[in-house]
Amino acid sequence: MFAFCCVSPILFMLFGSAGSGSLMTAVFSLADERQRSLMGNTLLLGAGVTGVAFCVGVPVGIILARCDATRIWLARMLLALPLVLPSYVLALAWIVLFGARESVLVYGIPAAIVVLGLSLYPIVMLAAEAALRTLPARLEEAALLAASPVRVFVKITLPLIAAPVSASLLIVFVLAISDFAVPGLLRVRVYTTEVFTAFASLYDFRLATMMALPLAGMAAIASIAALACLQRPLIGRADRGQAGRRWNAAAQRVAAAGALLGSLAAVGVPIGAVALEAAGGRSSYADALSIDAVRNSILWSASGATLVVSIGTLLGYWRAKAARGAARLAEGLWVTLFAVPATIIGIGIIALWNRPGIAGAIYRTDAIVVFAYCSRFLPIGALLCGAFIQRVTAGAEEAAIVSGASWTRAFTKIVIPMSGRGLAAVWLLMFILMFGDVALAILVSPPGESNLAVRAYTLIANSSAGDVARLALVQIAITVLPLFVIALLARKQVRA
Amino acid sequence: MANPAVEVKAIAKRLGSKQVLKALSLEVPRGGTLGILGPSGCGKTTVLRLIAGLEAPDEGEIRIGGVLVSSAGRLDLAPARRNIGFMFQDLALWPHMTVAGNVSFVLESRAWPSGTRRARIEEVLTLVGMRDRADEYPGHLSGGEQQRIALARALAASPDLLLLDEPLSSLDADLRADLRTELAEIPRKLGVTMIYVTHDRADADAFGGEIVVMSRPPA
Repeated sequence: MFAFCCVSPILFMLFGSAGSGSLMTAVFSLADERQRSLMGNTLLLGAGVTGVAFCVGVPVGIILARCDATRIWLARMLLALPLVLPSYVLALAWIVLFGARESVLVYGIPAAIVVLGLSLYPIVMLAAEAALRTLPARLEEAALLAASPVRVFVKITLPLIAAPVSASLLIVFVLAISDFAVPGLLRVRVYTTEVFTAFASLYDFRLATMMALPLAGMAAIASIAALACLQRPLIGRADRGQAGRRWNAAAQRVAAAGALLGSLAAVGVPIGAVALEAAGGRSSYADALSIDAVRNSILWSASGATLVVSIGTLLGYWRAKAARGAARLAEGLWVTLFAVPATIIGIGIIALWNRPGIAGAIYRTDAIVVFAYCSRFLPIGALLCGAFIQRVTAGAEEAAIVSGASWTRAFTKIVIPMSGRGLAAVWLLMFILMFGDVALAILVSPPGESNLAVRAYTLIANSSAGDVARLALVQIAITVLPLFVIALLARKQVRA
Repeated sequence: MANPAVEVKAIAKRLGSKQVLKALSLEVPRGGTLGILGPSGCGKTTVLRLIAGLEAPDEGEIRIGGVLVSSAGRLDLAPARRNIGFMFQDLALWPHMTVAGNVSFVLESRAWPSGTRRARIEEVLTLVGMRDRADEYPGHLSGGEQQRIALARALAASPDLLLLDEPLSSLDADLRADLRTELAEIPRKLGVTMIYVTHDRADADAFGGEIVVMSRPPA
């Protein structure tokens, strides 16, 4: 099932009949001026976004980690919000804010770097914060007895959090070079946009495949490097009962206030800009096509998330129980597959399913979008589900087995309930990622159908900014509101 | 006591809502040994952290060698400038540095000249019987070996004051007996003032010196 869902579309895209010989062609074509320019733009975008994410994410992560979690929960949540907002919303906000001037700073690589950097920095922020929170305070305190705080930070703290932060930077790089919406809107020619153009406008499958290969190669190399970073033994990890260093109460108050102000600016400015623009829109919030798009978005995303979590839970359980070598191999495969850009998966699915017979009949239904979401998100879903299932101690399950429960009963009555909250969080994350998807839905949606993100994205070219902003606002509301409700409930529960 | 090495005057400390220490005073003579004995949760470790400057007292003051280092709500002298060696209960060895790197970091931070640094590393590792493990990483050492490296690191920069937090708590009985004897000889061998905390009466008997008994504060 996993191979069918996740591997077959990619293999078909890269090495299938239409793309036969494309590997060699791609290698030779790298000498071509156009290819070199695309490669240069893509690498520049990836490196620039990674740089922005590092410069913003690491300092903010450090500030969050040095404060009590209860003090900065709201700031953290707001600061992490750009990650769950579809990147096209941030690009739209950028255009609303600065788009009045036709300038290379508004439309071009620098703009795409800033927008994607501000969209993806939460990955680095959360990684730095998590690494610091679990770094035993004693390691830094022992050094503080001999060295200045700056020297302690450079020689002790940074090396100990280097592995997870490096991994997060590589993930940002992969996501940046895989993004389609922001370069598309800000008129940047990179591999993702050119692959889409070759396929959707020129109907040249061979050209699309040829350009997809270097992109897939770059993403695979970066994702394998990220995995290597994460598989270094986490030598700085805290033992039970330990926690990272905290600032004193006064410093925490200042930091928390600063973080809250910063987070309000980081989230308030783009959302505020979209909201103001929406106020000037002329179309109704609830025209028939938009209502259809919202319904499709919710239906496709909920079905996709449910399927991903169901299969991911079984795969994650297997990984948790598997021998070390097999588990590492699976993790490597999943991370590499997740790094494959959505455009490549989408074109692979079309090539695989758009043919006469049963495949074609399925291809023309909504099921193909759900299948595409599974292809794209099952690898990361399995990784996350596995991480939560691994937290269930072997003893808990063994106690059920010893008590006479069958494996199925132990799995459904012990393992699933004990990892239930984590799995629910994975479901929500998958739903949000699918809900904001542009690249897959724009390629594989059945004729006449689209999701909300694609509808907004395609309206940008031939509708007023205010009308598009209205759709983006609906997208933001549906993405953000459930998150806030869940965060509030979780906070209440922790306090109780 | 005339010119004590450490002087703690009426300190109080609250951690969160819990009053951990209240009006605690003690003095340790130069080159002397003081043991703080008490059950878990009575605030023993907090006393060491206050002396080291990792926390500031809420009330009272602390002097080291006659110099005011901490007073109510403030650190008058940064921890790095107190010339203290601290052996943490969980050792806190830096896992990304070799044994020699752990010791060297302290010497570099205290601006020891590079010429004398190597000799000093060899000296302290020889003192704890770990000279041949200088290039190993802490993760590759046994619990007892890690304990010795933590001691070597604490002694590296010739501290005026050595603080030991439950130095033997994680060792098995045989290792415990060996290291107990070695630790007990350190103040006499090196002329350093030593304060240790333990919950084990046998450790306190072996280390000798003055003993302060602390009890758990009322809930």
